[in-house]
This record gives sequence, structure tokens and C-alpha cells, in this order.
Amino acid sequence: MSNVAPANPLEMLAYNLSLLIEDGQIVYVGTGLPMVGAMLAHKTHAKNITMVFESGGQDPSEGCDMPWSVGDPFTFRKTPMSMEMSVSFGQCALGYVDIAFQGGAQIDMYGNVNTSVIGSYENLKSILPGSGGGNDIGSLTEKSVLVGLQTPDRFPERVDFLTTPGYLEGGDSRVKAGLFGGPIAVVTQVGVYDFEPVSKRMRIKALNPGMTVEIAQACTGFELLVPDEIPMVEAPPDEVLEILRTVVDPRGVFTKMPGT
Amino acid sequence: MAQGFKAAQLGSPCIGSKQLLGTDMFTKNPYVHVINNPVGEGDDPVCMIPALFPDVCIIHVQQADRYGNAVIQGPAINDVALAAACRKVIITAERIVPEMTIRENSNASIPFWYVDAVVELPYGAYPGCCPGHYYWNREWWEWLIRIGTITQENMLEFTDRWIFNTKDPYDFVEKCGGIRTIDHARRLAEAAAGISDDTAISFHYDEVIPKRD
Repeated sequence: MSNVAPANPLEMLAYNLSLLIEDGQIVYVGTGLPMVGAMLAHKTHAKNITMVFESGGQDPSEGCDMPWSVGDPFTFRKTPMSMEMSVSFGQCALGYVDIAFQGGAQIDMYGNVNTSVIGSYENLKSILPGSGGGNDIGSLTEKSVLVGLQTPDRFPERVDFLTTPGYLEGGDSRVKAGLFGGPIAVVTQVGVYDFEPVSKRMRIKALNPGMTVEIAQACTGFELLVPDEIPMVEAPPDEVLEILRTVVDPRGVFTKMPGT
Repeated sequence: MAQGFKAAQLGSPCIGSKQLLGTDMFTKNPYVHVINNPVGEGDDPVCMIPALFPDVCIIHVQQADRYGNAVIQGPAINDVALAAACRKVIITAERIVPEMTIRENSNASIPFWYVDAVVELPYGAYPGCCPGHYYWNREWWEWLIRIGTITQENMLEFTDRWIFNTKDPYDFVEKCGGIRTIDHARRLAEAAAGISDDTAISFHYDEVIPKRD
């Protein structure tokens, strides 16, 4: 019997993110859980990844802590160079960036993201930070991965405000709007989702240990597509959890459960 | 906006972009237009973003000389484009350095002819982060976001204390804990940038968690 405590839901989320990263890739990272996932990948199966940041930091050298925001000195620690923001976005469209991560207050069934307002634009309930670089990354990157904590409110059928394009109205509407690529996965505390190739609707891809289709559906504000067979994500090996807890996020800033 | 400032910096009236397409960012913004790419082939929608010319901008930098040649250490984000585009540019600097210091390193990112005024303003970016000088005051930001913005009353109290009743950046630093706070912030900034040995530095801080009754 292993004496390493099993992964909590946030650690599972970070682990699932890390599995989406392949060795040698150039990864566009935000802060928070995507950062944890990328660092975990870097410390385990993908030693040769290069991290780039929207603020302009490119390939920072490793530091003793994690960036607190994308403008943190850790994102441009001893970088060979830093770029202006519009140039940093441009390299997504040019295809230099292999995979990008995005969070949002709301994610809908076609992978559209809202980071602007809750409520209607004319009758606001709350104002959120806005696009930042979100729209740029979602529009320009060939493969993006969405990250979110899954609740029915945060996963509505339609986002209140469409800040960052996923597959818009589904089908070929993203291509018709003039965009290529799109989100390839959504990672939450429940599991991993992808998009059905024709309708572009969100579909269960794999579930975390202990999760069921019913739980996934109960955490979602629209009907999820459910394939015949749903693999379970294997629990992370002990040594990966050790690295996550002692090297990647030792203070538990992003992976400790609130209130524990 | 990055694109709009870039267009202005290039002296171009607009920029054709693949951003904003298909979203409410486009439908709620009367200033951008989608057209079919006139220099492309077939169906190729592009979003035309107009060059932006703000009236005034204030840019805080690590070093400037008395003429306004300004050095930005770390990513310039949009600041160089912004300085080119703005009608009036105010540079605030941690240090005013001799003109020759900048000439020797040839590292100004904003030239003096963009600049209308230079102000020496140490700690001018605090409680934000100024790379090489000080790290964020993270508790302060958490207070603002987690407590200050919750109600109108909290916000007014917050602006009263931190803006209207604060004389200058020194006063601000004093209110945050003075020399101990700012020296710690400097150590963190240096450790984060890797210019001091970071093995003995802890980035731990007490997170601001509002108590709910």
C-alpha cells in the first residue's frame, strides 16, 4: 500500500494538463493551473519544452517559485530576449506555438470562452477582467486547451459574452468566420473533454478516478455528448505526485484544496 | 488594442487581423470592421482594427535621461507602440541617469522625441512590480480585489485611504510598512529575476482571505 496521499481534484487537473503536453513543444502558458501543468510536464515526461508568455517573456530559466502573474519577473527570468505583446501573439499565428492554455469565467458547449461580463452587456451583473490576451490566443493558435472548474454556472449552454472564440455556433462556423484551429480539449476537476469533429460540441473524453457520467453532467449547464466507451484517467504515479508536491508547487498555491 | 497601437506605431491607418472574428468583442465594438481580405484569394474574412491615438499616456520605466530617452528592462508589452501613438507622453522613471549612460548601452526603447515630460519618481510603480527594483505587494492587490471591490462602500474607503490621502509614492510605501516592506520587495524582485541567489529567499506571504460572517 502506497503511503502517498491520492491526488486531490486540483492535482488531477494539473496532471491531466501535463499529459496534453508533448516533449519538444513550444507552450504558451498563463499563470495558475496551466503553469503548474506545464512545469509538471517539464519535470516528468517533457523535459525539452519551451515556455512562452503573452507579456513577452520567452523561454525563461527556471526559478525558485512560480510567477504570480504573466508580468512576473519569473516569466522573463534570464530570457534570451523578451518580445512586445503583439509580436508575441503573432508567433501563434505563424505556427511557432504548438499549444496554448486558457482559462475563463464561462466556457460553453462549443468551447467559447467568456472573460468579459456576467449578465447581458446592457444589464451587467458583474464585470470581469476582459480579454487580455485571451481573444488573441484563442483566435490565432492552432491548438488551445481550455481550463476551468466545472459547475453548471461556469459551463452554460451559451456564454453571456463571447470573448474568445471556440467553435462559435458549432459545425464549420469557426472556419466560416475566418479562423483556423480551435480548442482541442477542456480540462476540469471532473475529467477531460474534447469536441465532436462534425458538430464541434463538447464531448466527454476521459473521466478522473471516482467520477461518473452523471457527476460530469450534473456539473454542466448543457447536455454533454457521451461516447459509448469512456476511459478512466489513471491515477498519477506516486513519483509524479511527489514531484508535483515537492518541486512544482511546494507551497500548494494552486493545487491545495481551499480550506485544507 | 495591441494591434491598434502597433498600427499607429507603423504609421499605418489600420491593421488587418485575425483577432476578434466571430465574437462579441467584434459585435460590441463599433470601431472595428470585418471585410473580405482584398489582397487574398477566395473567402478570407479579416478584422480591420483602426490605428489608435490616445491623448495621454504615462509610462513608468527603470531609467530615463533628462531628455526622455527611456530604458525598459523586461518586456515592453505595448509601451513602445503606445509612446509612438500617444499625443502626449509622460515618462516617470525610477532613476534619471546621465545621457551618456544610455548612449553607451544603446538600449533606450523610447526615443526622446516621443516624450513630452520626464519625472523622476522612485517607487512610482509600487504596489505593482518594477523589474529589478521591487516585486508586487501581493497582499495589497488581494485586499483590493477580494475586499475593496466587493461593495461601493469598501471601494470608497479603499480609494480614500490609498489614493486621496496618500501624498506620494514614499507616503504609500510608508503606509505599507516602510523600509522593511520595500527592502523585502526589492529582494523578491532580484530573486525572481535571478540576479541574486534565490535559494534562501521565500516567496511565501499571508494570503488575504476575507472572513465571512
